[in-house]
Amino acid sequence: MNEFIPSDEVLMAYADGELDASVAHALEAAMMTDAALVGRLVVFLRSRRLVRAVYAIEGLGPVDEDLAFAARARGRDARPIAKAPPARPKGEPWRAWLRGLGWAPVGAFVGALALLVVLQPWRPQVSGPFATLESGEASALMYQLTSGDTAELQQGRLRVMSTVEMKGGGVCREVNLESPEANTEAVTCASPGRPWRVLLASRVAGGPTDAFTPSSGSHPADSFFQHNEAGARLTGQDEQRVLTRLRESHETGT
Amino acid sequence: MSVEPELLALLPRLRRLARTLTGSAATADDLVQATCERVWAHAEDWVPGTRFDAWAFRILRNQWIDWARRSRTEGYPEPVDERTDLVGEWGEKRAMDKLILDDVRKAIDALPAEQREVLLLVCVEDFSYGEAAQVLGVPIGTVMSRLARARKRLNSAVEAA
Repeated sequence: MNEFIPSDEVLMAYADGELDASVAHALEAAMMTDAALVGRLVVFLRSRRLVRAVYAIEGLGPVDEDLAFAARARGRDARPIAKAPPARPKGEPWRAWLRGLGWAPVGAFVGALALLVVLQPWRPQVSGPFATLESGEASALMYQLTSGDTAELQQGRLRVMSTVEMKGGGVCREVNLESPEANTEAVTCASPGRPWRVLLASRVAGGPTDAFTPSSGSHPADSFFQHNEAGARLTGQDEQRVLTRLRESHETGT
Repeated sequence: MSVEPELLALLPRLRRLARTLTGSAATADDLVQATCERVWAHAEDWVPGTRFDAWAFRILRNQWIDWARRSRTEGYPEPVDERTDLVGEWGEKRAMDKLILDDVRKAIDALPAEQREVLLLVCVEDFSYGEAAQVLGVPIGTVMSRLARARKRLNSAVEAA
């Protein structure tokens, strides 16, 4: 009688479903009469399950804003490759901009919300919603449009959903960019001395729509505003006053 | 063609692999940043239709090896498959009444880096042995031997806990 004594690698490959069928059949036959083989197999079945459980519990975690910035830094501010030995880079435009706004919790929260960005099925495109919303054309419109207004951009229809004042004097606007390819919800913010920058964006299902729907409290923007203790949504003269003040600040460089 | 969508979506997994390799959150983030730069610099080398994650993982790993070689921090490039002095640490495991996943995490952290990374790629990322071998730049047989050794060590840790 030929005794089949599989190696650890063979047992593991069987546990992982990577063993050739012929060898797998031989192994199954051997296990019918050899309980020790089953015990050795359990080592590999259990170890995979435990490792997966550990990583599943830990989760992937939020992505730091620096990493999201690095991943989409092309075409924006260039940043040199980190050098060994590793050291925390300083003065990234993204982080500096956040500091300039004076919102301590924003950085951490943007990091958490970055998942909302990275988990969206973005379509490959040379000029994406970030570039569009931070363009000169869109930035200029940010001073002019009030909530509910729309404007046609080359890349799609821009709609302003709401406007809030942030602690520290910044202004954030919840906007929607509709194009034939995608419908993007975003929060773009500015403060005296700081231009409009997109802090949060997510692609939403449903495509373009003509209906203006005020923010309902169920969007990522609402969580962003709530987490950062934004003021109430501005309307009418209050909204225009804040936008005018911001525009004048940018024009005079103060 | 822009790799931005793929790269953004892959960030959390890149960071997980980086943490597995470096054992440090801060260093891992730096490693991922450097990897992003390299991905952008060599974006034209990626062939659409092939696995972007495997390609980016390979870049991250090569970046880490470069760093480790320069800084000589972890001795990562040194083959550890034959280092018997790394094998016997489980004898000191304290007795515990009950297995908890914290012990598994500690056991994973105690593995040599090249066993940790293959464990992550195959058991968590669900790479096949062949795909993991491509990422790591080693033969499939090496992947299997490292993986089997890592899992047997984990099992020993579990039984000792």
